Amino acid sequence: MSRPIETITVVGRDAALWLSALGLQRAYGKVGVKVHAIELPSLLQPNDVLSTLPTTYGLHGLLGIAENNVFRFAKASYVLGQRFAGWSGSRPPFMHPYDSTGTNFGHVDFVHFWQKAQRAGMNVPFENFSIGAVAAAQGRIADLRESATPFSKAAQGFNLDAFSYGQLLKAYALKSGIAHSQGILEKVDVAEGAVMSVTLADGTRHEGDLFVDATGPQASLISQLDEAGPDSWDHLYPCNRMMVMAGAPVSPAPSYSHIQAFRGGWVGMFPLQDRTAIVAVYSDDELSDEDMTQSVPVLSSVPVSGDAVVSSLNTGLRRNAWVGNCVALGEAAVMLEPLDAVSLHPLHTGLSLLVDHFPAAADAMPQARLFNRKFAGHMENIRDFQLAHYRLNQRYDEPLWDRAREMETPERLAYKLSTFKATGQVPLHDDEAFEKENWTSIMIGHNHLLDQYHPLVDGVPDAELMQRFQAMLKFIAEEVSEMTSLSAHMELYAPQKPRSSF
Amino acid sequence: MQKKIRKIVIVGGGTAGWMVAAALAKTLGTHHHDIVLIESEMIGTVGVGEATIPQIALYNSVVGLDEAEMMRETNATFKLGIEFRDWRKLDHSYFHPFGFYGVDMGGISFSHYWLRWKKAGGNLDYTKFNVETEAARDEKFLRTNDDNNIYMPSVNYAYQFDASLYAKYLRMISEKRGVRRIEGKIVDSAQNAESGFIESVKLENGQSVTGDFFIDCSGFRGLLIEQVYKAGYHDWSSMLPVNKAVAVPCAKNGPPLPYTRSTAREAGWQWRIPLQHRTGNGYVFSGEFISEDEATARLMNSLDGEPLADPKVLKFTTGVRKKSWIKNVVSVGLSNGFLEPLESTSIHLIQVAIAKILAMFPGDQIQTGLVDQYNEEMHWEYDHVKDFLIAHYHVTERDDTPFWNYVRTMEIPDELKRRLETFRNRGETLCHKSELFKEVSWFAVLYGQGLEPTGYHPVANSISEDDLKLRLAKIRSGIQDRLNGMPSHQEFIDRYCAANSLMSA
Ligand SMILES: Cc1cc2nc3c(=O)[nH]c(=O)nc-3n(C[C@H](O)[C@H](O)[C@H](O)COP(=O)(O)OP(=O)(O)OC[C@H]3O[C@@H](n4cnc5c(N)ncnc54)[C@H](O)[C@@H]3O)c2cc1C
Repeated sequence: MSRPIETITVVGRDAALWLSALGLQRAYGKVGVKVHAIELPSLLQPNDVLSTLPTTYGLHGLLGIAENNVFRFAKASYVLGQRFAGWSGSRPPFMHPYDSTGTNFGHVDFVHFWQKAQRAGMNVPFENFSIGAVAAAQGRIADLRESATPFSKAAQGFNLDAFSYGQLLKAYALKSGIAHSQGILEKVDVAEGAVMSVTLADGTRHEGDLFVDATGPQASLISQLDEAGPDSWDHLYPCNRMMVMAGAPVSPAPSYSHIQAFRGGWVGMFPLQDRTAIVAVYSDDELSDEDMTQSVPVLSSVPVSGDAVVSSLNTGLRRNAWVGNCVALGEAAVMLEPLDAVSLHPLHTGLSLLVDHFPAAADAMPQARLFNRKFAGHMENIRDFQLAHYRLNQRYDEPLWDRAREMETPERLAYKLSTFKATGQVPLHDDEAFEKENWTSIMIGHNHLLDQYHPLVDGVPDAELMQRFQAMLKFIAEEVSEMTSLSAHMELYAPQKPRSSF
Repeated sequence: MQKKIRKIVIVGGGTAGWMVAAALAKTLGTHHHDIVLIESEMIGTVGVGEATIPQIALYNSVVGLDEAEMMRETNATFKLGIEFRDWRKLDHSYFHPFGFYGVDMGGISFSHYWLRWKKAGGNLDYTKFNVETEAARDEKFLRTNDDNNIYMPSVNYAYQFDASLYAKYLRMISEKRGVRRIEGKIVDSAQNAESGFIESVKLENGQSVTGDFFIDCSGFRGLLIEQVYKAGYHDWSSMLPVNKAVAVPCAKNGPPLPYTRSTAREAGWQWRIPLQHRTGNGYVFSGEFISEDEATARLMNSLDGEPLADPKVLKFTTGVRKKSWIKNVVSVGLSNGFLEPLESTSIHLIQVAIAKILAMFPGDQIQTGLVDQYNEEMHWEYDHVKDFLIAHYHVTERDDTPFWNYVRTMEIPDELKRRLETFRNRGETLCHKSELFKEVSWFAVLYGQGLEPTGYHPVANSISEDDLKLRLAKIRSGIQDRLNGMPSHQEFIDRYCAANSLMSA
């Protein structure tokens, strides 16, 4: 008879290690599975930032992490969307909110009606019909009143200081009753396509029925088993360098991240409580690291302090993230661009899949195939969403951006883009992180409009259409004015400044 | 038998006299009642008393004053509260705002929720949850009376004005409504031999003015209530030991602040009240601890503008008449008592007296039951304001002068002791519903003076921490939204009620 899993050994560092260990402990610790976290030295740089989607709420809920603590200890800020500026020539920036936009009339999506009105000369941007987008532009947090919930599902993700967030997760993980070791990884013993044990520099050897590789890009465990290695996606993305810096905080605190395209790539500004984290993604064909360092303050228009940390940027997917008894989670399994707030999403996805497809026996893990297929599907969809920004850019006559438009486009993405243009529909798969409203938002935002709107649209008299639009805008303005401001929320955690007067 | 009350004589034309006159003329009318006011220009009025509290709006509306006009006529500015400097200790400052902290929930005041948040390690000063404090900091003002946005707090305010001009303005209104003013000094009075009721007062020029009902607004001297009826006086100077004031106006040094400042001094405290055209100043002190000359020098040296007059000294004894209404005489204003101007309550107490007189106004006869009720109620009002004032002095860390050592260690009333104890333990202030200064005021002053509660009301634990945080953020957000839409105090005055003298200058 086969033996059930008794011990899980999670080897890794930073958020990936602690989220994996805590997640597995919460899911399987209660049935007696022992979770052992082996902590390797951090690879974080001082100003690293994690930018996450609203699904982080669900993750924290599962892990028992109080939102208050995330705010208190991880320098967190709320983000209701991403603002893209400069991606389409001289067109104004647009907001991609974590929310729907407008309401359908009958069976026809709002976007068709908007497009008709827009053609007829109405110049109200699409995003103005989204509570999430308007709220983000006004620095609100997503506390919708009941009256707004049928119309909107505005939600917020977090921007997190990577180091403090890791510390917070560690504290939770240690409190949850896992075993904990610390050291430098010396050796991974592999036999018969499985990890037998890991040995640390201090000579200690650690075994396990199931190993989780949360070592990040080093992929120290899985790389011993996965002979094929990761598929590179570098040929799909135009940038190959990344730079991280710290900028002054912006006041009042914006509740969106700002993604500014420029000649050589893009610069992202991610508000945190104590700073604006700045991440630049660029191509060394266009500018040197030095040039980039000098460009950041100009492009971000906030004072920049401290050193810039530069690294090469590679993307790719390990199609065999689970081999034998070893599952890679996080960056050991997939590398994406730091775009669209997906810093934790691959980890979250992998962890959920592992929990759902937990191996029943220690000696055979047939779930691996299913896991790998599902995981790859999810990741490809995220990648496609990121690529869509590049493919749809309208910065003409700039080599990087011209290239970004013309690079190889994965078939599924090409199909999405063309279907939307032809019909206003977004063909979705069931493993998509981004939904119809997200795709619609960025496609319209990048000016990828419908060739023609739905025929039923003409059934609504123009006057009625305008009236409905106006009512919607008024309703949104009212709802947003009653939402809480992010800066008020932040003040509740900010350290008090000494005051000389009352 | 008593006579039917037809003729009302107001003795004195200071702020009290004219406030009474204007209110009676409006509510009783001058058709059925003859209203006469006697004053002596030779004697003059106290003339200070420039800061008010929000309740004055009620008086103004009863009398039917147009706010903007009243403010233009009296060089008025808006007042959002009082800054107390150096009261808890030197180089410390706190603000006692009008209005509220946050929003009360679950039947207990917001401060308990804030205390819970703070105890749990949360940040953000309670003062950030009060829109008036925040507006005062930014020197902003907006009238929000007609605004019914329930997500933004309304702004509560009073006025800082020239009290003599206010009296003058009320005089004009009263006279328009048929109040007769008689100039002259009262030298004598005549009583009914049987009832002891005052029947007439006699002026220096020999004229006699008869009346059925007399309102004694003659100032500290208490011409009828004390000099004729010997009402007696509760002397509170052992607990409120200030007994003199030296006052002087000075030139303004910038846009007027929308608040009054009270700075603690070695033997009392100094006020600074900004009006549209000048700044009022005064040092309220105890003659036992500092001489008049020294106090005057101290005041003159601390002015932030050219003095515009010679300093004027006033003497008083803190306390209240044992009886405010005796036979057919009711004393109102300084003739009824004086609690010192720390919380700008004198004009308010005049207004309370007027409201009560109107509520209990005699028809055919003066009922002794009503008179007793009036006396009890008026005493209660003064008594509770008194405790609030005492708390300012008594709860302090100052030990740098004999005056502060005295007030810090003096005996205080039992009821106040109980309050301080309860506040220390659970942040509650045991306020009566009808008390003038509510929980918010007590909280602001006690906390500001340095009494920080160790606990809070248990009901504050009834909501989840997330819920608490969201509510706090929501309240704060409303305050931010409100502040963002507020013009500067000066801008608001300019467009709403700039005094003519300034416009033509
Ligand atoms: C230092 C100080 C600061 C103050 N600050 C404030 C403040 O900030 N806010 C506030 O609300 N209050 C303040 N007050 C109190 C305020 O000044 C008085 O409440 C207000 O002026 C009312 O005074 P009154 O009308 O009662 O008396 P008075 O102003 O003294 O008027 C008395 C009137 O009686 C007349 N009179 C007296 N004797 C006779 C007679 N024999 N014959 C004829 N007429 C006579 C006088 O001519 C005069 O018209 C302050 C008081 C002082 C002393």
